Amino acid sequence: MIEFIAEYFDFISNLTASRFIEIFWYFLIFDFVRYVGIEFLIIVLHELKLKFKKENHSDAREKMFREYPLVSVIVPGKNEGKHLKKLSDSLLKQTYKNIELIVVDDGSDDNTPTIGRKENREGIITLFLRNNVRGGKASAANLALRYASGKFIVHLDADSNLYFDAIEKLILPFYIDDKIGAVGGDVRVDNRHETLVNSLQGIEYGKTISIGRQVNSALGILRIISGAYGAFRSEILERIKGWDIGPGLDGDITLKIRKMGYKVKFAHKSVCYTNTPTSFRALAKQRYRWNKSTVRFRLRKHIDLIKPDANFNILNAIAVIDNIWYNLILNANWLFYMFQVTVIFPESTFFIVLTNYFLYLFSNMVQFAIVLFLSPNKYTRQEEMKLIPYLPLMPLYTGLFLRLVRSFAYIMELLFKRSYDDPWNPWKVSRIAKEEGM
Amino acid sequence: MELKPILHISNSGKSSSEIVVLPEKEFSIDLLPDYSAVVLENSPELREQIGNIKRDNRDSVYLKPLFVWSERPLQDTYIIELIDGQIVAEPIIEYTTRFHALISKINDTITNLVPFHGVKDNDEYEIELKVIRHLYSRNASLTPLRSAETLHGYTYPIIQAFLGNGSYQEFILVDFLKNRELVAGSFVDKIHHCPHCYSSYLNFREICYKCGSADLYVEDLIHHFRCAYEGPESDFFTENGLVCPKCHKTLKQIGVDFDRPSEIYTCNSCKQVFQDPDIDVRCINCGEDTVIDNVLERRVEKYELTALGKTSAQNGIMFTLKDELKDTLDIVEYNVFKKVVDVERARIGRYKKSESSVLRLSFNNYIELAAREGENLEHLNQEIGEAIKKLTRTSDVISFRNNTELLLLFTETSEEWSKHALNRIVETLTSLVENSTQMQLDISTRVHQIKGNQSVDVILKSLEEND
Repeated sequence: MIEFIAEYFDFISNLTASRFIEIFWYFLIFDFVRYVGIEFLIIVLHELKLKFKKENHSDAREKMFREYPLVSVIVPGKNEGKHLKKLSDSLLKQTYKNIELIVVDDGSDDNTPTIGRKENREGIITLFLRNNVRGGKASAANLALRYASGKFIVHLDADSNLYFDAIEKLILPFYIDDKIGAVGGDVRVDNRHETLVNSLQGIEYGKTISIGRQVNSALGILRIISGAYGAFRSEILERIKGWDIGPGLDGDITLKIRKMGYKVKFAHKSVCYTNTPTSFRALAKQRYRWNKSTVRFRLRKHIDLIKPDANFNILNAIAVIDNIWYNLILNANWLFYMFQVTVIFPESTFFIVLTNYFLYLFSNMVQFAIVLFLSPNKYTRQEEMKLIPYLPLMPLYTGLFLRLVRSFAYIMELLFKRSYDDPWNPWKVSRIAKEEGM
Repeated sequence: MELKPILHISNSGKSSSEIVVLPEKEFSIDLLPDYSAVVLENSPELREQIGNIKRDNRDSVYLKPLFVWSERPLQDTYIIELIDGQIVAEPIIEYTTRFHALISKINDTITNLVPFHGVKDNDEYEIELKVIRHLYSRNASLTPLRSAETLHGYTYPIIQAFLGNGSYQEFILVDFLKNRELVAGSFVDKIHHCPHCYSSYLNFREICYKCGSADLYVEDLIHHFRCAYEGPESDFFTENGLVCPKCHKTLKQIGVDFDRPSEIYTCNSCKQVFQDPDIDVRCINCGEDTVIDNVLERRVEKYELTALGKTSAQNGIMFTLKDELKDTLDIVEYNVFKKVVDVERARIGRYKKSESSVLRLSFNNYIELAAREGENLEHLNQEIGEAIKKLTRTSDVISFRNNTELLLLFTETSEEWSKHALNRIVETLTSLVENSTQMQLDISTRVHQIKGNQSVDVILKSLEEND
């Protein structure tokens, strides 16, 4: 053991700057620069900007509360009966009161209808609708939209619940800038202490959503408003008649709205808690589905965004390219990198891997420090700090586990179009999608 | 036995040795005891005539075999149920042979009935007794007849005739007979009654849960697969059929490119949208509105006499072992007994100081005994009651699960001691019955010590097996 440590020290001390770059170029160029360097820079700039623009917000806030528009919170879901009460309770406690809650039960066979109808009668749920035959999330969301009367539509997942001022903070951006068409909220993991997998997702969501989307939003290239929690101007949704078939219907609709010329922003202080998979198996299934949809929608459906035609918009193009680059292309690149390391530096493979691990760990720690610094409130910060012990596992989680799932998903979708067979949509819907090449 | 002649009420026709023809104006129901049967002719007054006969309280009148003569087959189902046969355009002479056996049997039965006045205080059971005697004499069933004439949906013609008119009282009466185990029922139908006036003439309406209006518009929701649009069918209406308002494709075939996952209601009064309307019930008779949960639901049954029913009819007695022992023993209702056992169980479970037991004593051949003893039954029941009283303590609780199953709670008594005590009771009762009746009393028993961790249902269920 001691010998090993000595050898490792040897290896590290023998690394010159150029040698370091030669071996660890992948980490440096892609992960460190993009995710740590640029993010850090953007965050600093953004925070400074915010500090100077505080009066805009109070103006906007006053305008919002004077007008006090109806906000329709639409909740499509299947078999989330056990989460429904927490969701509706969290809406009752909102600082913003002019809310109507529309829940659509998409063919549940648990106690969702019982709970839903009861709360409907009690007035807690404004309208509870049920599809006796499951139609899929998009159709359920569209049904809710059809009966929504609000000026703004908030789409909320049925297994989620909101922090007490979430709605207010989510709607405010619409009053800051008329050109904003959709606003995404900060999605955090509700059951982060349930299992190890949940804790790791807790950290991951902090990095990719809380910070990652803030950065994208600041840069104007936010490409996805989480299906779990996001707000839209209802006139926009009415125009495009709601959502199209998923999976990935959240990314799909965000890009559609961008194509219409609207801005898409991230409301960092509007916090939503959602339930995440509790086992690696369930998590892999979820990410497999999400990753396939990246290919189906980013690459296939919305590839027109990077075509230099009359509708070309540089930010839209960057949003798509950034996504394709970092998810698709770099994934392939990483495989190349690993191949390179094992073939070119076989004698030091293990040390290289170990050093990569430490580098990624460092990167994770910096990112998490940013997450803590930018935490919306004392409560969220306290909760985040409890996740610190899990940081050492993050390089394995992101670098190995998620990467493997992603690679597999891309292959399955690119080569076999597997997303059309996903039971996430009912077969009757997938069949039509497949036939019509959607 | 030679039969008395038949009385035929007719304004034409000749008498013979077997049949006496009497014009209507000379008819009086007081004549009936002198005849073996009565034949009435179909006329508008027929119902009234039959009613008069049935409302009389003499066995020899209301139980008299009753026939109707008419030119054509009778259409009135109510009358058909009441009478013992119809004679359709048959010469008077000829029908006597056809009904001879029936008339004979009924008259035999009537003759052998124990007169019911003077035995106990049976006036309160008058109509109930008439009903079971009617069934007994004809070996008939009590069949409900669907009827739009009465307010209650169904009627038991013979009971209606005894009461004088169709009313909810008929159902109260059959419930009484059933609870007494004098009749056993089999399912015919289920019916609903207004909780205010018991009428079955009910109007069921779907109403808006917000404003209560019945003015609702209902339509299907349509889900169009290819574009995920989902909305009410009216969104899709065009001159050329159903067209999707989102992607503008014409809908082709349900199940292929679209489906109808559910319905949706819109209230035309307040515009509320919902899927689960309330059901309101308006009584056409009294006009009261009731929520569906409060509407009275009843099983309508056809009844046959039980052995106990036949014995009661024969002997003109309506009381039961439970009724009889009520005078001598302090009997509690079953639901009260269950509660007491539950409290005892909880007490034992908590303090762990006591031992108590529940016991069952079933009189398995009580019915045969009752059938045999007839008039002496009352006296025997009293003796049984006294015997049990002597062998139990005031700290014990006694109940009946049904008419022949006695339940006991022996407090502060272990299973072993309870068995001793029960055996003493059984021995005493067996010899008492044998001495009085020469019959062997068939008793089965069960003793179960109460355990604090068992539920009361488990404890009582354990009494169902035999020791």
